[in-house]
Amino acid sequence: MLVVAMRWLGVGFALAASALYVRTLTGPAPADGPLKDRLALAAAGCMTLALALRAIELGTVPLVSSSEALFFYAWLLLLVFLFLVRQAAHRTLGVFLVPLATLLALVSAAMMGPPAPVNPLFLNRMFALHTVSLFLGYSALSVAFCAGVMYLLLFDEIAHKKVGRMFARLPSLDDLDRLGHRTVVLGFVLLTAGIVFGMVWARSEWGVAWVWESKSVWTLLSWVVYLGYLVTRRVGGWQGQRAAWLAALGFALSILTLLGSDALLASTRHVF
Amino acid sequence: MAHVLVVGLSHHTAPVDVREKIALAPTAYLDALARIKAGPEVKECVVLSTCNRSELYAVTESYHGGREALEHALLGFEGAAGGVKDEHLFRYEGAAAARHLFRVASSLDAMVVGEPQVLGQVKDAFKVAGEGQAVGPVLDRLFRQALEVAKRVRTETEIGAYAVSVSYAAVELAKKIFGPLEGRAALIVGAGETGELTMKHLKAAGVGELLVANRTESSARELAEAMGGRAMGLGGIEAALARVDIVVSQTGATEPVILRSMVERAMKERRGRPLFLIDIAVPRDIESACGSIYNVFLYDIDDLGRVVAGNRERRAEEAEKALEIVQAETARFTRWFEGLETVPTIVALRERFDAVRAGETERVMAKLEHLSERDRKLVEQYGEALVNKLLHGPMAQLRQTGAGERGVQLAGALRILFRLEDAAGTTGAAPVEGGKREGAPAEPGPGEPGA
Repeated sequence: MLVVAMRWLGVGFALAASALYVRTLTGPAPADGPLKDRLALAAAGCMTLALALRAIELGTVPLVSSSEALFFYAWLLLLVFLFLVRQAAHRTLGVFLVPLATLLALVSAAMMGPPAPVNPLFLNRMFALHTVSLFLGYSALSVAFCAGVMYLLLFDEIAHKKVGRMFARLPSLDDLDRLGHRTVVLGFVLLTAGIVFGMVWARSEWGVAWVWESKSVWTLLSWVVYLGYLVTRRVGGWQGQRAAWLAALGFALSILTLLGSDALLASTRHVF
Repeated sequence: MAHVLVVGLSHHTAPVDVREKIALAPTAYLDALARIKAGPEVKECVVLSTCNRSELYAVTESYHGGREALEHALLGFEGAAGGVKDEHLFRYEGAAAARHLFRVASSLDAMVVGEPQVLGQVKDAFKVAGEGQAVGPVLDRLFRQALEVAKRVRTETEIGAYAVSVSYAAVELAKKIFGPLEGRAALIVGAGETGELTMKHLKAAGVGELLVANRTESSARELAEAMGGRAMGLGGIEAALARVDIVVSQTGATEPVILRSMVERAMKERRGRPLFLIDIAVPRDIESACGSIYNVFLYDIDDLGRVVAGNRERRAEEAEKALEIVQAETARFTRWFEGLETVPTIVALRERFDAVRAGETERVMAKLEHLSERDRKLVEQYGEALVNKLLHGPMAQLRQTGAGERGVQLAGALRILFRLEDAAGTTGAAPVEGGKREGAPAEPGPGEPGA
């Protein structure tokens, strides 16, 4: 009961924070009060409590269904944002990152049913390592995505010589590009680690490291896109606009893998 | 009754050849203040003089006398004999004077609306006047509030956020592309005026290495020396393109100096690092096809001109919002200023009643010596309670009416009915202690935001 209340309270705070962040970009003047950061903090606090209580209930990381995993992901995004926002250049990131986290939290909280008995497969240390690294990776890659979107919005104004709202309120192209690059590097490492942990786990459970099924394939596909991001940047000098597009593509694939696993991708081995 | 006045001239009312005659250096403020304060009319005064305006803010005993004294003082500024006509001057009183100062401080009255220099000049003027013992409670309040207004305008509107000159617009663009410009390198080709100005701004914004290319090496060297850069001939441009981040070009050449093929080769060497090309020359120095190369940002003079025009419009929109702030703050100041009339009356009325009560209590106590200590206290309290009860209604009413014409009327009636003239007739004329706050009465009236 308390878990559910905390979950929804967290979503409520996140909604309020999102509204304020979006206003900083679309509103008449850049109202830069501390309220929105505090709301985001309150949201993260409530969600932390909900997750902690749930973890105690379960005896493992609270990632045993796709909705729970999404909620965990939303929580991570908020934490990452609260960490990043301390730097002035990243303040406007909240305009994109907080609503994204809120959307994920809202969807997952709505989808969540009463706690079902836990699949014994999940009471395994490898499960925790596999899922947590993947979600840490996804949150870094989400930041890269947001930075990419901001880059493209600002780039559009500068390239078309129509400087306006984005120009006045977003950080510089260089800031956004570097933030995107750093978070892709971090996200790529975590994504790789998550895949490797998954392979180790699969071997111990089923005797084979790699199962060719849709979820694995889609994950591999997004991994390849991020690898492409890093390689083209290093070799071909693809920084800036092209990098931003690649970050967006990679993120779209990751989200599809994550959200679509139940319905679209008809996964067999991956429960979610 | 005290008056807040401003008499002055500005770029709106007087051409530069008139303004320059009246202009006063800040070092001359103290002298001028002393002279103005020496007369009987002016109780408080601040002198503000910049290249765009010379203004005297003052609190005076009467409107006409004060106005004359200020006009006289203004015309008395060095070298003003002749040339200055009555039509060059403006005069504002009361709310209009406050409004004017708020507009000046927040750069709404400036030649280029939104440029922030004037705020520093207002601060200095206020400071010097404080040092010269020329600021009293009214101007202290007025100028402090003006600085607050300027701050509000700066934070609540985006009036200063948009560059309105070609050179600044170029620097703003560079910052939006590269972030902080510290450690970035720039190349200037040719020696046009706008180009040099842009370079100066870039340097001020942190650009470290500066390369100067010119058709003749000698003039390149000259400019390089003046700007603290390194000189080279036009042949060095291609090599430089691979190294620098920002290029400003303004030569008199009739053919492009920087070709697409050069930039393409440079970009290969740069491994995709962005390059910002600024072409201020007419005819253009940089082939326009360079703009389509990946990660090359090319702005020519028309592009920059469009940016500036758009920014001017945006500033004008922001100025509208700023005016609303100014309007609200003017009303706040006016309420406070008019409240000055009623506050001393409230105090004086209270004092008068208390004096009567104390006298009467003492008189009756002398006849009641047989009373116990406790009963004596009761009589004392009875008197106090009576006064408090009787005064409560009128006091509350007066406080509530507070500022405004009606408040002044009520206060006047009380002064006449209770003969308070000697105590409270000369509001705002209280002796002034150079810019200190203690002299200012508390703010009356409900809903008044704290000072």
